Amino acid sequence: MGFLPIPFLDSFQKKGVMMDNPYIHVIIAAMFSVVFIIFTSLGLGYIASLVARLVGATKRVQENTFSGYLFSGPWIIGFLLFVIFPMVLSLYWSFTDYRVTENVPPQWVGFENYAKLIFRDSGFRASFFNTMFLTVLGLPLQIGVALVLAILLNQKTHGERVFRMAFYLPVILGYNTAVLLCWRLMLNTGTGIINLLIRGFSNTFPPFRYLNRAAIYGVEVVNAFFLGLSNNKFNLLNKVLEAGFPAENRVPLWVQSPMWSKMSVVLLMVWGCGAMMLIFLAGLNNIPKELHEAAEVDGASAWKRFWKISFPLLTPYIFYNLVVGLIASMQIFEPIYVLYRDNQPLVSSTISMVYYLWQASFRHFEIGYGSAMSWIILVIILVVTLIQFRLQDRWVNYELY
Amino acid sequence: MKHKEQLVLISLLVLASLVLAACSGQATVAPKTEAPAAEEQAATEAPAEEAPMDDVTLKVYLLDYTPDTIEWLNSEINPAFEAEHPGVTVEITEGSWSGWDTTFSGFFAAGEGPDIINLGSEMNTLYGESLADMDAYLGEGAWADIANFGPALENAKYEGKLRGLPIFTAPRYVFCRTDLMEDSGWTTGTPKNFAEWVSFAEQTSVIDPATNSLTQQALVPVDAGSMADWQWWLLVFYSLGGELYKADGSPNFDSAEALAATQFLYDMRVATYGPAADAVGALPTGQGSVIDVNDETSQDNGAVCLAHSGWAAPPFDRPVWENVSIDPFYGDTENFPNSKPVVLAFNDWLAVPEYSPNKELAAEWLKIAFSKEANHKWNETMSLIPARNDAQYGYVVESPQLKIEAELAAEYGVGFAGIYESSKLSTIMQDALGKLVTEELTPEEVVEKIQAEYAEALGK
Amino acid sequence: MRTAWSITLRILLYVFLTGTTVLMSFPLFWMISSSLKTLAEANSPGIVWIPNQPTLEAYLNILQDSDFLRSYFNSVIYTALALVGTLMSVSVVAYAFSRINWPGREAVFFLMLSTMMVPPQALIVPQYVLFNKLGWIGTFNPIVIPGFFAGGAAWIFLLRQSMAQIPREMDESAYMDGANHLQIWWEICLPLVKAPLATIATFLFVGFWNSLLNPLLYLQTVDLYTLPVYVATLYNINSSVQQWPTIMAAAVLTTVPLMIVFFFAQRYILEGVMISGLKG
Repeated sequence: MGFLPIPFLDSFQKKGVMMDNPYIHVIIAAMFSVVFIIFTSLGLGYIASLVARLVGATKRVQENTFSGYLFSGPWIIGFLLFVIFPMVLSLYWSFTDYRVTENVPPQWVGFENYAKLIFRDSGFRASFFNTMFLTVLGLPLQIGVALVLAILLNQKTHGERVFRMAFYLPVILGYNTAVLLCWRLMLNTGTGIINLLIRGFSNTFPPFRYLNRAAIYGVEVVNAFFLGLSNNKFNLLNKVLEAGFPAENRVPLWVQSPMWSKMSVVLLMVWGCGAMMLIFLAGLNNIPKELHEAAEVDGASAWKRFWKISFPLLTPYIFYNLVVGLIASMQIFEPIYVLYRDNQPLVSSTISMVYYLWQASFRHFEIGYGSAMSWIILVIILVVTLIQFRLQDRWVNYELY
Repeated sequence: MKHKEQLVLISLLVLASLVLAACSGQATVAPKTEAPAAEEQAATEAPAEEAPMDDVTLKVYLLDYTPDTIEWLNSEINPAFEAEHPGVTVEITEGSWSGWDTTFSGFFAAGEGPDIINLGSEMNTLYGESLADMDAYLGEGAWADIANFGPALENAKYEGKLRGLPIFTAPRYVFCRTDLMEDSGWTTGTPKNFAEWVSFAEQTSVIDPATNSLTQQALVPVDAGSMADWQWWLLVFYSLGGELYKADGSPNFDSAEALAATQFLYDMRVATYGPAADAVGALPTGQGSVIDVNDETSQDNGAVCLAHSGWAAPPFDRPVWENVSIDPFYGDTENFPNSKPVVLAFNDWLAVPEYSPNKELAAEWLKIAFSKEANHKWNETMSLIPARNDAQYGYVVESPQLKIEAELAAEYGVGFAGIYESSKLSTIMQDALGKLVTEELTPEEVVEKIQAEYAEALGK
Repeated sequence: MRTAWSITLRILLYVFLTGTTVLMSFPLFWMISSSLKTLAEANSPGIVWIPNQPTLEAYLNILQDSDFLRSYFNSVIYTALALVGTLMSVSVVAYAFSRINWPGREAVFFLMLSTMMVPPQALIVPQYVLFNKLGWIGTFNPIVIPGFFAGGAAWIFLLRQSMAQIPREMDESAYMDGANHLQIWWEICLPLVKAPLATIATFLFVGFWNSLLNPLLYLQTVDLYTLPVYVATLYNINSSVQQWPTIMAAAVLTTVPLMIVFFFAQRYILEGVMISGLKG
């Protein structure tokens, strides 16, 4: 490693063997992989062209068969290695009690893992209802904000490009750990800038205070209801309703209370609505101008034109965003890891399905159980995606290219 | 055409080598079951290993130690060891507590990894089966020094057999600001039973009405916000004389002690924060120890008492120590005659995994790194109490705080070990206790939920 | 009257859009501002918009942290390798799906599209075991190598659509001149799909740079940590003082490459949004 005289790489320099250096190791592995891919693809191509010759294809077809399988080889090999093989393995494990730390071979347990997940596991139930919460409350908010911004940007505004990009930037930064840590700083209950601002505004404009209290009331009632759903017990909801309208000095307890932990995620979702906004913008651009012009001639107001012309034509895009957003909310991992990993009592109130999967597999080492969970998540996503595909003819994504 | 055939041959070779690689991969896992035999062999052939060997690397995996500690290990301990064992190189790898569980599950799944790994107290049962029995190398018959280790040694055992050695003891005390107690009109010192604690919490916690946040918190346990961390629950439970398991090994969360501990956590939370629906904000954090005084503003950081490890208390050279008392947690003698004062002792320890082919060498390294002087020095870099009784000299007795802490630990220390499925129990309890403080569940429902879920996790 | 009303509306529109822009970029502003504060200012209970005496102390701290520098270097290496590997293999496969007419193409293409439905997280456990058997845990291999196998069906799809639009005559005539597919791919096809390639590269870069779960799983030591994994450890859960200025300085330095890519690749992003959304 002598050729890189960089102080922070010191720890690698004392290792004599080249393969021990992680950078050289990965580069060598990459080169081997390329060689491996080339040869296996060649093999695949030859086998395919051999088959073509045996069934009596022309020379041209044989050549094309060879080239086709050779060039698509990297994907086919990768598919077998990294998708099919793991899926078969995990399907098998999902019917066993395989655990990493135990020195006993996995036992076949039939559908026990699935039964436990669906009927008895309160953590999985919580992760399901948390996803529901994000779908029922977070997504409409996110889609609504994205739609409003898209419509405003579509008013032939000057500097549309600048605004568009400013709104999109959070998507790029989105789930970067570093940015999430900044959110953590801002969401701090006592000294975080967000609550300081809410407090400041409340003290200056009394109407804002009222708005804030109403928002807090709404959020807490809805959250208490969803926490009740995951517990099958509505104590908390009763208590929140009993306590009535929040006192004057209340502020949101973002990362301190189970009634707010999901709202922090919703806030992050709304902040990252830029991708949906761009999709809506594309949708708005696809609406024929003539429709609007004709309606304007007929004397329809802008409001009416939106609801009668734009909105119906945008529904496929809304539906599309809904489906994509739903799948994304099942897969949320980073925000929970960064915001709540040291605040364990909050985790169950905000946990996503993938986070729960990670916890079972890599905290409790229950590979069998985790595999069963992967398959349930896969089936849910499959169902959601199938719905999307069935309604796909109503939405035009193929025409974009 | 000939060219073509050559290529076919090569690609078939690559495919074959892939299959072989997959098989040999399985082969590396297989020897796991044969490990005990291999170990015995190593024990009997021990003298043979004295001969210089070619390029053995002893890998030590440590989590979040100070740069000073690592520097000291690399400059003193490892060279000393390498001089005694020619041909052996020691390699220290540093990981982080934030990802340990994932990392360790990888080591054990692979059946290969470092020869010495850094574990926390409760992990002896978590990984016990995958850790090597080190009695042959470090037990009383093999190493006289082992008699000098204090109660922390129990945390390094699984099924009565040594699996490694403890580095330090980090007990949890009750630190209280006597001056703040007096200011609030509390004159009887650190509370001695549950009823006193609750009235103490009501009397000395201050909520600022302008911001609806705590400005003074009577007691800050582990996790100041929820006041319901599972480790804090266990401390309270042990102080009542509670036992985690019944005679048949099933969990004991349906006991009177468990319910009382849960009720106490809830009462303390309400006495401090008020009802959950009030949604009072927590103390501001990040200014340093919660019982310290801010130098710039001369304001108190807000806690009257702190039930936590020494590292959460102010550094020993802070002036605030004049007014800080150190006590164990006293339990509740009035209602539970078996109550006893408790300091819950955590410790880090180094264990040797069963998969390690270098158990003998690992034991030798441990002996050097855990000699009287080395154990002293190692802990001095972190101001912690050494696990070896005879290493508790110098800075340990010179610092009045550490001296008290060491005495309390010796007298009231209770280990945080012997917990089965500790990782799952942690998840189960955190979930249930989180619902206790938001009043989603009553204390009765909380213990019932923990009992049921933990029993299922244990298969009892 | 009507014009006055519409001018007011216009002004309101711009005020609203500017306000939203400020809100959207506020975390970024706060990150930079906090990184220039002293520890006392960062933890102060009052609002410190802009530090009184901006200090670069936090940056000096983080730049002296050799673990941070190494994780930066690791992130750069990992992103570069994974990016090049994925881009190359994806373009090769897209070529096969668009420019070569082979039996079974439609079936394989449909299979590939259907993998878009498989969430990557559903495969982490068995993949972990696979990489374990290969002895890849604790190396960069598991986060770099899978990309070489044309990871990402959405990208293949996007590139296939672009390549399909290239007129057939171009490669037919090259084929007649004796060029093979490799040459046609490299010399004719790739130069014509530079824009979609840039789109894919942008999204891949952002994805690799931000990725947390996989590096967290596979990189076992601080020596190998990438930025997201290392920066997460800067928030010390065992400490009563969080070094916010230092953490935020690390955050600023972490996001700089993202900002640069974002600034130069804006025009590619719009196209990519559609397809990355498709990926789900």
